[in-house]
Amino acid sequence: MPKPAPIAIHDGRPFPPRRLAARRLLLAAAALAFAEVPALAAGRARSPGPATTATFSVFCDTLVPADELTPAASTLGVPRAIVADLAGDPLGERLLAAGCAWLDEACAGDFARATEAVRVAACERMQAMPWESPAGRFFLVMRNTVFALYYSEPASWRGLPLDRPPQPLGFFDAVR
Amino acid sequence: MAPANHDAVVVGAGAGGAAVAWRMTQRGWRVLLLDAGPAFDPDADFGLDRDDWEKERFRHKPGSLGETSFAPLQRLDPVLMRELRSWSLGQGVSNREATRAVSGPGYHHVRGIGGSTLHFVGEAHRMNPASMAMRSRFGVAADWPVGYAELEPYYLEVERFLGVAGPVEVGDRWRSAPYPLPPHPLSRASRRIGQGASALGIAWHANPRCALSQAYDGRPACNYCGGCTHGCPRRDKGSADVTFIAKARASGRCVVQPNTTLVGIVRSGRRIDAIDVVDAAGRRQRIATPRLVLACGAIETPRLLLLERGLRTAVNASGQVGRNFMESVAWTSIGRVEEPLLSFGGLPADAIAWQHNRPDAVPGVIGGYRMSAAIHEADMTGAIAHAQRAVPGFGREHKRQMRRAVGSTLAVGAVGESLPHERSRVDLDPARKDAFGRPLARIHSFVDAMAERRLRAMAAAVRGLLAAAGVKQLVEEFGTYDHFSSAHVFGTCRMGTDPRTAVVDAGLAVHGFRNLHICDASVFPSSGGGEAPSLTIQALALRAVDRMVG
Repeated sequence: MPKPAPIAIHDGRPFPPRRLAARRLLLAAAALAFAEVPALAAGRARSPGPATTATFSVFCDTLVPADELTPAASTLGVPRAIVADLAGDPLGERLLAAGCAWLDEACAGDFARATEAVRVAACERMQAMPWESPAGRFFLVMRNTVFALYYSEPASWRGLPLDRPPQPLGFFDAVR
Repeated sequence: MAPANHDAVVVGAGAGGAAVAWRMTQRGWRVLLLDAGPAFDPDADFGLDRDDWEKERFRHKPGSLGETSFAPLQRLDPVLMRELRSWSLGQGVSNREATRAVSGPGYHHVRGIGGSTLHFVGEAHRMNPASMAMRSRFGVAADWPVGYAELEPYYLEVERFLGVAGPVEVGDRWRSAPYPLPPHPLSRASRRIGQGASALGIAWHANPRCALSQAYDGRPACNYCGGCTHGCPRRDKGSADVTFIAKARASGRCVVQPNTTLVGIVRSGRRIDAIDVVDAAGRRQRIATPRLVLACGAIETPRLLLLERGLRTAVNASGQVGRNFMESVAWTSIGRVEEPLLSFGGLPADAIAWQHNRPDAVPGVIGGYRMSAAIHEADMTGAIAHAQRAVPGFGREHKRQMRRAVGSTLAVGAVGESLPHERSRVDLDPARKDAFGRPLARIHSFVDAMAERRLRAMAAAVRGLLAAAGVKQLVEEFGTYDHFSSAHVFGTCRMGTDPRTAVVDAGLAVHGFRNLHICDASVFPSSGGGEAPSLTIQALALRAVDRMVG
């Protein structure tokens, strides 16, 4: 038997339930987890006002920027949908505010105005944060949620081998 | 209480209950088929034609997911975790606790008209005859009181009824006639895995499937959308709602009542007289019945029996109700190749390797396993799954990688024998209750040393097969060592000839009762080496009704 393929385990970062959950459930779960972390930088957290919304929108576009084929996350309304989903949910709003506060602090106080290279570097640092940290949880949960919303929009499918729903046509090409 | 205007009440409209109901109507009986969950409309409910088709795998409706609870699960061995950890490239390890975790609901099922066949892949497997005598051959589990030869005509009848598409090769499972439909063509992805299997000397066959390879019995052929687990809007997959239940209703002798929950069983001595139910409007009703069939699966059926205090003593004289719980023992690895294979399409689980399926096929391990193509069951088909799990990172490079990854992932899954263990059982939760104030079923699950050995063998074989197929990089692995995650559950109302060690007899009648039957996988004395259970459940159900009718 051949040697098994190499396995690259990214240690230290658990993920939420394997099956894709409704985003509200996902966010609620994350927010609850967030609430359990006493080290949350409460002093930095703020209610999601225009500044937080701007930071979050640019964060989403850093995860999913526009390119020659497809639009950015904000063009498809992804950050707006997430913020709307969290509205009125104290834990969700706290999650959003604290995550954005971390991003702003990592970019000299204003993530939204930073260059793309600075923003990407900040997101890479956030991605590397341990799961136990609020920033680490924020990143992983928002990454999942942003991708789920973005890639459920047909405008995001251009250039992908799968560019339509499975039905009604099926995929006869796959068995030819 | 009004006198019964039917010959039997069947509770549970999944694989077993649906087959029972159909057979009864065929024999001229009038049947009331109840289920606690809702009815589904294939035209409207499954969502595979929607832009957001991928956001939910199976679109549950209110009441279609039953509640269960779990007793604390075991501590994990850090050494074993090096081999059997679940992880993904996009999201890291999935369980960083020191103990085994419950994945999602844990018990993956659908409550409703059609039951879990609504979201099953539709593998139509016969048991391996070698896996039906585990007690006499290996001193584990229990022997089946019904042999393969006795079941064979019923297997064939169910296959013909459903329109099973299967291969010419029969392997260990002799047949009295060919499958009714030719096998499905293998997908590009499965052909690629088959090249690896061939290099390793592993036979890689078309998997018997109850999805139609040709139009059959008024239903169209499959169009290879890959979405069986979302529910089939075309009705080519042989789920119980569009096959057994549709035919039972068409007979004019079967009334189907969804959203109706059994809340009591009325008996006099060793005879069931009636059941108490609560319907969709919240009305409590007593329904007299000459015969009661429970077909609610290996979690809910023992719960219903244990909930009835008087009945519990009579039914559970053996002490076996809820014992001998067997679960899914599974391992899946997913990897990437460089060329486009359109692996999101094709028929799920279209190809299978039975090489290690016999209970003595793995040296030093009791209980076998099978391997099959698993990209659809692993839910790694659409862009969302790839973005979250298969492609690491974010940003421009993530987008570029997405265009290469979607359709180029391959998965092989292994499902193995699960053996009974004293620490694996179903009982009543002392604290948590359902909407009617009745205790929930509580699952106790334990992975013992033999299961660990089997899982290690399965993981090694799966990784080896993917490597031989040209996979250079794995992107995700998921197994049941560090998670409880079961769609197939068995054994909690064991079938056997001895009332001291079994709950039902070979005709599925509860020992000591003439009008109480159980027709689901809770009666399985052993799980088999990874076979999907629905065909066996249905063959047993038809045989049981034939014995009831006499």
